[in-house]
Amino acid sequence: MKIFLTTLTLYTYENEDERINLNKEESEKFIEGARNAGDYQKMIVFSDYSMEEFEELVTTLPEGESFSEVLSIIKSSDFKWIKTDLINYENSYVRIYKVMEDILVSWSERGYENLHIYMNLSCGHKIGSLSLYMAVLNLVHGEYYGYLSRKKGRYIRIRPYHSERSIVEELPVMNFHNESNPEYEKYIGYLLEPMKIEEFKKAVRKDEALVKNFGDKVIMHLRKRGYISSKDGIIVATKKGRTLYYVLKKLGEI
Amino acid sequence: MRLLSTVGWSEEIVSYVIDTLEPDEIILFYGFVSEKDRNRIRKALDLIRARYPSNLKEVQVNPMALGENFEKMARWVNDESVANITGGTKIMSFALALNAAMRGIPIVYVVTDGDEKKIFRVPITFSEGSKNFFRIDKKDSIAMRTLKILVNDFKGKARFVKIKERLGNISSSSISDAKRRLLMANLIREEKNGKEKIIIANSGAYLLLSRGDVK
Repeated sequence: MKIFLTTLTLYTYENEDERINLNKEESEKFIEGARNAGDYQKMIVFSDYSMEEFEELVTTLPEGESFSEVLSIIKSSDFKWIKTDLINYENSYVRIYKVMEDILVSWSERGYENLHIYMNLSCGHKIGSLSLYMAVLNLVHGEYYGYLSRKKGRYIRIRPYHSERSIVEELPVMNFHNESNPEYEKYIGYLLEPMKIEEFKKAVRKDEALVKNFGDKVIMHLRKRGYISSKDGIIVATKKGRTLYYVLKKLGEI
Repeated sequence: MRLLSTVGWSEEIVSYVIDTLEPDEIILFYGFVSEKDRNRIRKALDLIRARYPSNLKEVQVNPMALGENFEKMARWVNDESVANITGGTKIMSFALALNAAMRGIPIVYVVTDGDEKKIFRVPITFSEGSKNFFRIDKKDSIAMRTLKILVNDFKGKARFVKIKERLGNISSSSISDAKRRLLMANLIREEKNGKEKIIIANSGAYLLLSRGDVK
């Protein structure tokens, strides 16, 4: 079975020239992206509008005509339209992950076909497309790696791509993690100057007295990601750790 | 701190990040697809340069060529970098985001709502763990060597038999297994020319090979 995943938006800017141009590009990229996927059995559209809202806008905007082929391609397939907050990475990621999880659970339970996932990353807002890419890669690497690596009887193959102006750019299928942990990362601030490991553990224990071995957990988390280094019982923030700490501080996350 | 930022039509989304993060050094990646684009992007770059004249570098990229973006941007990613992926084309933003994820440096983007702006973090990092098609940190693995030979010796396109020859005394099954893994990772594609198999590097190959080559 082949499924085609895509983001899709429609621009409503007041600047008419800009809006017409962007909408024309959006519809062309969708058509190219769908063409690149070839024959698929199912399509999932992630859009920042519901289908009703989208169709309404298409009839209202003067350049809406350019989306008639887009809608015709969508309606001629077995499709699902999912309203998704494509300008917020976290919201979009969570939504897409859940939708794809349901699809993969049902696929794995049905039990006989291989699954080809074609992902069109050309459309929609870039943050939404990035979240589509990351959500699918994370889910499949985390929960379905046996199928991805073909260690099980049948397999999952993923083809993420960007398609525009007849240029198809393939993106890699790699194991990216989606994680942030400000609760641990804030402790980099203690380590801007070198500190004895025991002193550090004692200092952080005050914050989370009920969590067993909290200091060890913090150290393990930060060391694994290269944010701190240790030598002879002394730990200190690395350049990478300091940079992350300053960024989180400036963003008000810690 | 070194701010790496993709730039498109808007100066504001870059300046806002500079004002917030106060980096010591700014690297701007820009590129045009049309004359109209050129004028608007040039204007944005000039406005940024006027506001932050010192320690600012402009790096031109082809905004539609992912592989080139991977290579050019990787040279500027170091442990003190932060990536702002808000401006520019999707190709540019993806290239910067993935380069940053490979090095584990912070990635941010700006959301504009009317006159309000807010910076968010994209918390992605590459996992070197076992759930990968091959060990990327092992530069001498057959898969990594195959990629290197394909890109460096054959400019990204070669007959598979030629790559086998260059790999030397390695069993056919090991080479085929490496090729299979590279195909699954979408780092290469295979085409047939009559009976011959041609291997072509996808853009992701350049992401892997340019990792760690920093200015």
